Amino acid sequence: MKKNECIFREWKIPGLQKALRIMRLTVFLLFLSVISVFASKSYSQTKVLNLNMKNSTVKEVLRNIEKQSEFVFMYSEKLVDVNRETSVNVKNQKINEVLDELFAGTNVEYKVKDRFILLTISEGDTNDLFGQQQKSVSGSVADENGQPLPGVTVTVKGTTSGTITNGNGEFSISNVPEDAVLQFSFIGLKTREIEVAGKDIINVVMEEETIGIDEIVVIGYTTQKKGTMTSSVSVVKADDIQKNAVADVSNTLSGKASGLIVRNNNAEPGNDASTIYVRGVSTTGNNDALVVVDGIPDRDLTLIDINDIESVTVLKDASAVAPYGSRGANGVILITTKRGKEGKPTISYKAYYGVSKPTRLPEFCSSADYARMFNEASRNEGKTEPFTSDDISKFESGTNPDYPNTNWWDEIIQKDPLQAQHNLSISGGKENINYYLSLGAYRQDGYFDKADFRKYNIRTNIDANVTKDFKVSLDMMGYTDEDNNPSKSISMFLEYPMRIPNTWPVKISDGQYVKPTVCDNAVAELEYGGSTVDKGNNFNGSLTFEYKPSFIGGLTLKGLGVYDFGGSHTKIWVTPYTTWRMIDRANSLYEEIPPTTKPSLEERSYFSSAKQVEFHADYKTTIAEKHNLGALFVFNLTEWNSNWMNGKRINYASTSIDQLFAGPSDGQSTDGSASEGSRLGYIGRLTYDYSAKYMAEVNFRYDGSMKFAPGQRWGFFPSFSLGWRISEENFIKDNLKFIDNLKLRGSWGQAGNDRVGDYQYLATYAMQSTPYSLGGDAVQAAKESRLPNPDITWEVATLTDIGLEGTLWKHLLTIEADYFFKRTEDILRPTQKTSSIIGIALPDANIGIVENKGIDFTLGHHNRINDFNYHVNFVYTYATNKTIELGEAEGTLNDPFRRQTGNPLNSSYGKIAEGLFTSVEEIANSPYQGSGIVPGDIKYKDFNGPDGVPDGVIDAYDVTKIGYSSVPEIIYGINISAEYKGFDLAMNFQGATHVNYTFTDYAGYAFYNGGNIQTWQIEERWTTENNNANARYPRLTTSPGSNNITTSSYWLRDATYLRLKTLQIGYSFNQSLLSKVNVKGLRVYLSGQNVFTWVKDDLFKFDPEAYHQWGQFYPRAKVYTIGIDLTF
Amino acid sequence: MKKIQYIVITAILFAFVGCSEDILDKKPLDQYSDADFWKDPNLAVTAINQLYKYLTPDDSYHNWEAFTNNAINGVGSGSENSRKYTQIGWTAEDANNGMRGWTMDCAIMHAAPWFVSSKWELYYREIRDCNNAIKNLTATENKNERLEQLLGEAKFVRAYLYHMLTNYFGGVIIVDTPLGLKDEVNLPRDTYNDCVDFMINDLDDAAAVLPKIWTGEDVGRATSGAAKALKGRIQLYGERWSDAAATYQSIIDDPERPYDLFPDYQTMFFQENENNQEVITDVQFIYPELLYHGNNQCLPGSQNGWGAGNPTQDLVDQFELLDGKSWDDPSSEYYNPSDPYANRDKRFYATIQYDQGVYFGKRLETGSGFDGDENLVKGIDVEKNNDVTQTGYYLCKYIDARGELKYDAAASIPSKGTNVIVMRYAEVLLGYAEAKNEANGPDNSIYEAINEVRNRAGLPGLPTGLSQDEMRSKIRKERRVELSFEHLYYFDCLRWRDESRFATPHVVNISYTYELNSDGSVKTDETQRKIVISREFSYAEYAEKRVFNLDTDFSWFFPIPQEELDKNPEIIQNGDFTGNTK
Repeated sequence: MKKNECIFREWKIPGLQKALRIMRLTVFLLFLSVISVFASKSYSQTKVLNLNMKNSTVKEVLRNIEKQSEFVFMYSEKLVDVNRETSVNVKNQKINEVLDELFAGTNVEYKVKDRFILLTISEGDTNDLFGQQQKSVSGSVADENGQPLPGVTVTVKGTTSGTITNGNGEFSISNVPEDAVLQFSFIGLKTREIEVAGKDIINVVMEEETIGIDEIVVIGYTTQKKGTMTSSVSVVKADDIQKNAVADVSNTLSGKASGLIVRNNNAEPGNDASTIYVRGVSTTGNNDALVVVDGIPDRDLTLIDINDIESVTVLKDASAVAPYGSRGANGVILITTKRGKEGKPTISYKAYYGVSKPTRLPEFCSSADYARMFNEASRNEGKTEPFTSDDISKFESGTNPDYPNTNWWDEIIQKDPLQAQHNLSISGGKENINYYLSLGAYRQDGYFDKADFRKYNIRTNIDANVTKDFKVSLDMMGYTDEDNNPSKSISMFLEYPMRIPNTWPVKISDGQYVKPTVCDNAVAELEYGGSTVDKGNNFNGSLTFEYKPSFIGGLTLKGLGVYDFGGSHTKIWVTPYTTWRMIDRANSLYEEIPPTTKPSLEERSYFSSAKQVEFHADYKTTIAEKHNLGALFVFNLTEWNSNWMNGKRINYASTSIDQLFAGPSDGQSTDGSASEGSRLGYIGRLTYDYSAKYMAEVNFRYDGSMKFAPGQRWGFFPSFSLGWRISEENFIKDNLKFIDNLKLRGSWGQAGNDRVGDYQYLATYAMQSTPYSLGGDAVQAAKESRLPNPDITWEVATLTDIGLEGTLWKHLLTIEADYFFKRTEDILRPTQKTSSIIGIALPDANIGIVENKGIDFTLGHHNRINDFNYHVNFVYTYATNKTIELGEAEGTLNDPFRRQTGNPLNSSYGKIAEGLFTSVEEIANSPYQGSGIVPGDIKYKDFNGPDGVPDGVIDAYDVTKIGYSSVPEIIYGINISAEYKGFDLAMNFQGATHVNYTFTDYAGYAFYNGGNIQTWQIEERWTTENNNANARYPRLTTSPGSNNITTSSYWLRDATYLRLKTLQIGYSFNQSLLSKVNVKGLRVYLSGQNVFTWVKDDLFKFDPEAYHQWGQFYPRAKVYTIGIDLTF
Repeated sequence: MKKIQYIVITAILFAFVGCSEDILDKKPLDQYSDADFWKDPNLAVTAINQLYKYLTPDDSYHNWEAFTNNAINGVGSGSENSRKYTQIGWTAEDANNGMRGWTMDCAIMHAAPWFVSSKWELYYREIRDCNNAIKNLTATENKNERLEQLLGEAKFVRAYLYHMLTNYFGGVIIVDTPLGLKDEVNLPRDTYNDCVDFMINDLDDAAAVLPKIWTGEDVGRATSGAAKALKGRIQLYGERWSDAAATYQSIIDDPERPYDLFPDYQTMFFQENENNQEVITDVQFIYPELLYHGNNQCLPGSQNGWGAGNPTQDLVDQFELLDGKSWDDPSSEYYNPSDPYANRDKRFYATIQYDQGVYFGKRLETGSGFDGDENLVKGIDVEKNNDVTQTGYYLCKYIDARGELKYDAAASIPSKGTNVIVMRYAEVLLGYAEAKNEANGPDNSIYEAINEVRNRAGLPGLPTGLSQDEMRSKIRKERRVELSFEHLYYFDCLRWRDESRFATPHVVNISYTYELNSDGSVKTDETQRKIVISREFSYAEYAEKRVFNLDTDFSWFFPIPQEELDKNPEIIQNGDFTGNTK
């Protein structure tokens, strides 16, 4: 009955509910009067009852009475609170005595008609019921210490009506249906729901939210209570993620969870996914964490709309990654999307608009300074100075268009590019169907006019209960994007400003574009050079059947089928244009350079699909109330394939249509290929806990991969873990009351990695794209493409983890800390021992060994002072690795200076700089480092030679480890959030250290390849006047001298940084106001992304989070947004 | 009942996943597995086709020429990479003693620069493909003639690759089979002599099975003549004089000799005359897939080039006047210091772009003069910051500059896919002359061979009665002129051990007297080129000063890359590239 009613409730027919309610009571009373006709005497007078029940509900008591007598109770649960707990102890008592005792102190009245007993409530109350079925409720809300709580949101569940408690914690709310449920919510406190059930006054005590212990965490193939978990996982809250103004989920995770190291080397719109390392780098192969979305491995994180995320779990230790053991060696990121919950539909609309600009860019000097510096460089080389003082003063005055001061970055950058996101979702559920539907749109304009990115996504997650024990879920996700760029890659446009000196005019005075000697005219190239359009389409779908047979309690059988497919289409349209070459600046002489090629078009199509079928059997049971046992078995099969083709036509007559048909078929070219793969896996898990105090878990995964030869295909990866909830022990409970939760856990296990190139066990030949010509015609040419290694097999990581979790003083302090040690063996890498006379790239072999260890922890603090509520959360990861075996060449392996074995992976290697030479004598008395060295050049240290001793020559033997790798060893985040009245604040600081970058080429050197000079290079430079050995830029030369640009400690930059990654201030409007316009919630906010960045090294001029040594990465953006979250 | 349905559904799903392990047996879809590959003769042909690509110049010829006194790499060649070549074996300094570009003298060469290590790696990579073909074709049973020929073609290319490798590094490790992962690869170097034997062996095998000429769709494949010509060259480089002379003679004296000099030296290199009678081996380029760009880079900026690889005055001086006398010999009837470019060896005009010469319809301007206001006005081909000559000359070999210059890459020769000649009959003649002279001293056959080459260039024959030494220097000069910018002179310099070839090259400075307009500006012709009344020439060392460090125990070969020494302790480094200085 109740559920049927809900259907009508959805549709809000005025008065209908009320009418129905009246009808039901009428029927009831009619029934009552009928049975009373048959009433006879004195059973109630004679029958005696015996009851001894403790802590039972009234309902159970009544049922007990019915059992031992012929009495039948009739009551409405709406009127009589039969779920009230009570204790009765009666011996040989009559029914009225029993009922008197049972209902003492309540408003329940009873009428005994022979064997029928009607329970009802006092007259006044029933009048209320019959007269008006809506009423006013008031009351007060206090915390556990009895302090009144102002600002608590009180809503009638499933409606928009509600209010907020006043300064004394009091509330009053009218027009509350009798059967309504009031919801009390306050950030940081556990939400409470209380049935009105006829009460006029409801006083509520709200408790602190218990973070952790009872939290349900999504882990591999199942969920677990945080309290009884024995493995190391980090959870990132969807809320924290959704506060970032970025498109790609991977960019929201940095500094949010301990153990995560997130690297982004390019923030180009639509192409800005970060690489996620769990606990650092531990193999020379693929270090990326495995991404699992809604239980499906290898899905693309980029396709997920941030707003669809319910939770993110990072699986870190062997026990946690075990279910993905074959590929979980580098950790697993589990993303779960939102699902519908039973209840009225919630419509949510979220949107923001923002503008962005690069965080940090190198600064280039004025044209006059360029000319002065170039003259100085020429003087340093004894050359004639190309710029006269007249030239320089013309550059200075800026009045002559042939002597401009062009800031090329300003010329090409788009001011305040837009970034906007919209997400509309509807979720809810009726008795048998729950649904979550969402629609998202995102747009990001690039720093350049012709570069922008748009994506649209749609998701439907539907759960249908076909019967009580059979459930079907259908999840579908559709995604489409469009990425527009100039025909030349974006990195070129980042390079142009570093390349073209400010002395170059953009245009001749008559509007024609000038061709700088060094490269294209960036402005003309952007405007006329053509376009690259990438369009992507993706679908992810899965259908899950879940069967919980009622005849075996605790057993869940699940079968699921997954079909994901995606495609992309790229169109590169190159349109040449005319520029003008400068012949004579002084006389304003230019010469036309017509284009040397004609327009061309290339189209590339890519299609891929993946199928998975999976079967789960999950069994949970409790024996003797204390022994909780669980068993899980999963079988998984994955198959994928992809194919691509491209076509190109050249020499288009016109630029008016950019389609293939429009070009001449003469000179056209096509290409295409395909690949496929598969994987089989068996997963098993046994869990046991004793009263949630002692926990144990055993896991295995047995996997076969097509990447390896038959016989080398299968890998077995076991793990086990133990946990002890110390806080459950009486000696803690009794003596150390400030400890709410304390758990010690440990795990050991193995995990695999097969992410290497396909078919390395097979020798193959491939047709070469470049043909040869014989007899005047093109002929096909083929060559051996791979040296096979038939022995290639799984890379295996052995992971050990010891962790401690605790909650103290009711969340004033929470801590979760882990020590981890990981040894990765059989790392697939080519040996360096083999001489290149073998004549072919060496296949990977299982030779490498790397040890990775470190700690990660999260410290949390949460407190509430009246209605000021705040959280502080510090996450920290330290992961350092050491290579044990790399297959390094004998020569370097035996050289203690040059060897890489024993050092962390990808450390910086180079010469050791000892400042600059300051005199000719110093050069003559120093080790020989080549001829032509003069004062102002970098001096290197001689510490090695072919015989292992300094040999007086600076050469390849004088190279050694000079710094850290570009993946930081230490990364941390500080997350602060606070709420006060309607206001909320979120801040995310994020930093990293033990990281080194080296900038070279245009990014590092003045006048590189005809390039520009940066301001700092001028300020820090050595000059004959400033003959300083410690100058931070060597003498200027018109092109950097080879001695000075050798990789060395001189150019090593410390990329230690700290940044305020997210700052958000929001305001949520008062609910009682909103209810008048039928709105459930409205929050507006202002947000800043990468608001502030501090970098330790003052010569570090780029964004510290990204790294490309040529500085050609798309810099991260400072984004300011304004947004709203609206629910109704 | 319903329950049963659901159990069935679940069971069906289970059945899906319950399929066999066969699902793990996948095959590559983007390549052939090697088992399939060699079974099909048509595929085997494609593997041999690939080998011919390895005849492609490993670097632009002008880069190699700039190692010698034939050329300087122009500033306009732009990148430091190309400029680096000038510094191999010496330190280049500009006129003011400041360093120019990169420095890389031999004392620190064992930190092998990329272009050295890349050669070692490159040739062994290519040799492996030859070895693969040779091994698999040898193993093929019931070989028909075509398969035997394919084997010969592979052996020809392998010998050519070892020839290049030994040119750069001296004796190398002979690898004659595709090595596997488990084979020993840390092998010692074979001697230069062993390498020569090995190459000759391959070429003898090749010559035995290859046809004399190819026709139709096979034109461009290796012939028996190519195998012999290469054999002759290898014997010559190996100073096996009489062997070389004999090999060359067998080509020259062949009654069915398919080779002869092409009558016109200049157009021999042009696309219209591809596969002409002089060509023995060439790289059959195809537009637009496989191209050689080197010589385009040598054009001046005004002709869409980079101004790379400028010929030096020293090279220009080698081109005789039409009467066979030196350009500065006043006894010559053609002696004219005010127009030194007139009446020269025909090859001069095919090799050098010189001042006031007409290219693509426009006169080259590499001089400068003054306008009416005494302002210096530079010629267009020296006035720009970049892409201008350092020597006063540009290269024009292979460049068909007869028509209009088109701003279309496809129009420029030899980017259009013009074949680049690897061996031609003139080399055979000169090789014969050299080998024979070294073996026996001058004889009539030597005069015949060398005069054939000279006559084609419009020059008279050599004076008779030359001593062996005189003949040697005449032959060397002839080789330098005839084969300049064909990737031979650098190796000639090395094997001749002639250090004077590394001296600082000379350049020309040209002063113009312009015809002026009435307003004092310089008068121009219809092609916008300035009209020059008279020129004055001065000659000087300029642009870069080369310091040849022979005192540092210079090795005539490249150093073996350090990386290789690290991997393979059996390798002994060349010369004194082991790191010891002075």
